[in-house]
Amino acid sequence: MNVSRRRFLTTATALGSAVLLAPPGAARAISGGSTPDYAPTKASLDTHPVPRWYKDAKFGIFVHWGVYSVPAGSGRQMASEWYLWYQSFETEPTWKYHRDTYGQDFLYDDFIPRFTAEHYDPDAWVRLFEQAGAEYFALTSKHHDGFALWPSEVTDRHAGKYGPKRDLVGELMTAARRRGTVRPGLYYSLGEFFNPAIGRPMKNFYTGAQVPMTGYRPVDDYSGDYELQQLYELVDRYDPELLWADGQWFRPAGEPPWRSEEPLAHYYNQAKNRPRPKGVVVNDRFDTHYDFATYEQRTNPTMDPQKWECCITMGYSWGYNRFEVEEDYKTSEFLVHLLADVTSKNGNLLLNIGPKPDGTIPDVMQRRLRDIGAWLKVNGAAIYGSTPWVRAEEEGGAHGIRYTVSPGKFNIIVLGAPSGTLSVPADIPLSATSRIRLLGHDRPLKWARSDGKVHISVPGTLPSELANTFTVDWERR
Amino acid sequence: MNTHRTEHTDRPEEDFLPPPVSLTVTPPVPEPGKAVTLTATLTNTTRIALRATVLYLAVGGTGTGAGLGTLAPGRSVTRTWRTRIADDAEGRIVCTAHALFDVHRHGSDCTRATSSVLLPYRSLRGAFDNAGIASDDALTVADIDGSKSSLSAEALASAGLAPGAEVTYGGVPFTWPDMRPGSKDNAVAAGQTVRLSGSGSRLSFLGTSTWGEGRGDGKVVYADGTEQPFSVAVPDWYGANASAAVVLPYRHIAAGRDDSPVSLFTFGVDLVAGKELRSLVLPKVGDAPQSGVPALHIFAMTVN
Repeated sequence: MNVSRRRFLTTATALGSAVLLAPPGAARAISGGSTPDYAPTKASLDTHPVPRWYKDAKFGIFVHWGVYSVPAGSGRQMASEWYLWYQSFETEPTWKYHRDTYGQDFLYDDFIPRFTAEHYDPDAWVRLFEQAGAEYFALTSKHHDGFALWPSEVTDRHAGKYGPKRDLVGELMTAARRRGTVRPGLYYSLGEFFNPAIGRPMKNFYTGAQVPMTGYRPVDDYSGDYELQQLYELVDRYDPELLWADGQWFRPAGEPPWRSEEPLAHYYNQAKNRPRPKGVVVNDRFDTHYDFATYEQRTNPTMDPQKWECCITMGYSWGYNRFEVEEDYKTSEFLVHLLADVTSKNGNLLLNIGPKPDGTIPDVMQRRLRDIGAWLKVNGAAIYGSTPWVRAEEEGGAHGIRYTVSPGKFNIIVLGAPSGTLSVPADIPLSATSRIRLLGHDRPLKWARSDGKVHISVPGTLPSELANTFTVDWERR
Repeated sequence: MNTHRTEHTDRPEEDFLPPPVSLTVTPPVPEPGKAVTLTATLTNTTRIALRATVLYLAVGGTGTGAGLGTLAPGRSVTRTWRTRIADDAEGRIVCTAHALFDVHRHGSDCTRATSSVLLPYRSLRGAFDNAGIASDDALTVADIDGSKSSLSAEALASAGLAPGAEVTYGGVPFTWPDMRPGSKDNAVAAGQTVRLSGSGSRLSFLGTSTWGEGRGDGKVVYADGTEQPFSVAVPDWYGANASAAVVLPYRHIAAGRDDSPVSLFTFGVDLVAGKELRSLVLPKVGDAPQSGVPALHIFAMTVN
């Protein structure tokens, strides 16, 4: 089946409440600009550059929200978005937990009506992301449980028809565009835990009986008739700045390769072929070309010229887990240090939140985001738009140090609150007339060279307990 | 208001594949204490001028930066740096060419090339790259097999192998690594070169193998340049092996103490007696330990 042809049909018959900022038809009409179109091959896609905005951004918000937010885990240290999968194994605690809590006849899909989104305020979400100092976000448009958060045309298993009965994706994309502050991106799981078309029908995991999947519409070809169609819908309807694939290991029976080159070429071309082209970016889980490498729940220990992104949870779970307690959450100090570390090594940080099924964002997550935002308000000049120096870091002193370079500045980010004198190696770019300032402090600082080091006098009162940026004027001529 | 945040105007000309920087190191295998020359060429393949460009050349953590000003589209610039490898340099040294430049009013970018050179290790200890010993109350600090298993520091001490202990097996004296649990305490034999000096009639090793028999070929290099190849085949550590020099009653695995014995072995190669030694190329068995792949661990060696 010719996927591209199907996509044209999809576009032509669109699309009720769709957000169409640059209608693909109109965009195509002005194509043939300065650059040739991308072809659906890895070699062609590999000529796609990482967009400037993504390099400059450094900090984004990951949002895991879906039906799994309803059971919200089966205990601490459990990834709640995998509830359905864990529930399917008798050996997993979630199997027993579900039976004891909801009864064996209560199916996973019976959670769908409880996924209400009744207090979902997309505008407030975007304002929170702004307050966090985030430059972009990625919302789970569909996770491994196959429940789409937008009214998909190729299935009825979506939030427009069941549960919230709203276009959760479209509302957030619209809010983000209206405010124009945070670039909207979408996560999409290529594979699914259970889906008859994949060869794993949904079951009652206590009786073994096959059960219907809410909203499932039979298709012959999981990828061609469904997965690729959904990717086209996301691109054509919502025009996201970022596509973040996942779940590529849950392949259909027979393990055919994914055919991501087709939607990715379309994605790049529709971003390019418009009066004001825009940069878009994809991660490395489409099983083909990628713009940035994903480091899930870990960081890259060395500076890597290949752009990369650390995605990480605040607690243990990606989806909302109601069993987590505050001590399970990373501290604001840890997260700020992580942001500085990742930035110094050419990475971005995609920090996760898991909203509740009613659409509210847990208080502890909001507080962490606002703490980071407060820090960025003072120190953002050393983060946004910066690039790694020849050496990323110093360790072994009282506080770790991370370096970044931005126009006219060399930045020394101290992970913590130093006192007295800060000593750094003498090879930092510094001339006799250089001025050193502390971001958030109004006067230049005294400094001197001795013993092969540069010694900077630290003010008695520091702008932050978390991390402090000493910035050197550096006219690079 | 945050003036430093990304300006949401897309300028497609600022989206580009990294401008290439090349790096050559001459000689390709430099020697400690001797000169090395780094040459880097940065080519602006983008459609914009790269402003306030600085090109760094570095060996290990230290280097030199040269201001290049503005590099127009299509332009190339080459910089050379001659320096000296430190007298005590050993192991893997990373040479770096790192160019940074401004691309817009609030944004900088960089491009980088690296080339690593492998110098001989000055001693076996310098070549230690794996932590294989953990104490019974802190198991996770070591990982001898890529599966978070380790030798027990307490069990080793009970067998006479406390940190720094002098022991003799089969008439050959060894000094056990004087390292705290969790420190790098053994070299995974992967073809690396270790300096030797003096002479003797036999080179002996004390070690063990994880994930199966550690089999590979190494060589001894004499001061006169002659080479003597040798082969090793060291049994797997798991179990009480009759040919072992030491059998420990238990080991650590990721889940905790595992009451299965593990074995350490001696092995080696006869030397041309009295001939001055220069270096040893360890058998190439496997790189960093990983599950399912044999790795040969060398904790001590002796020429006698």
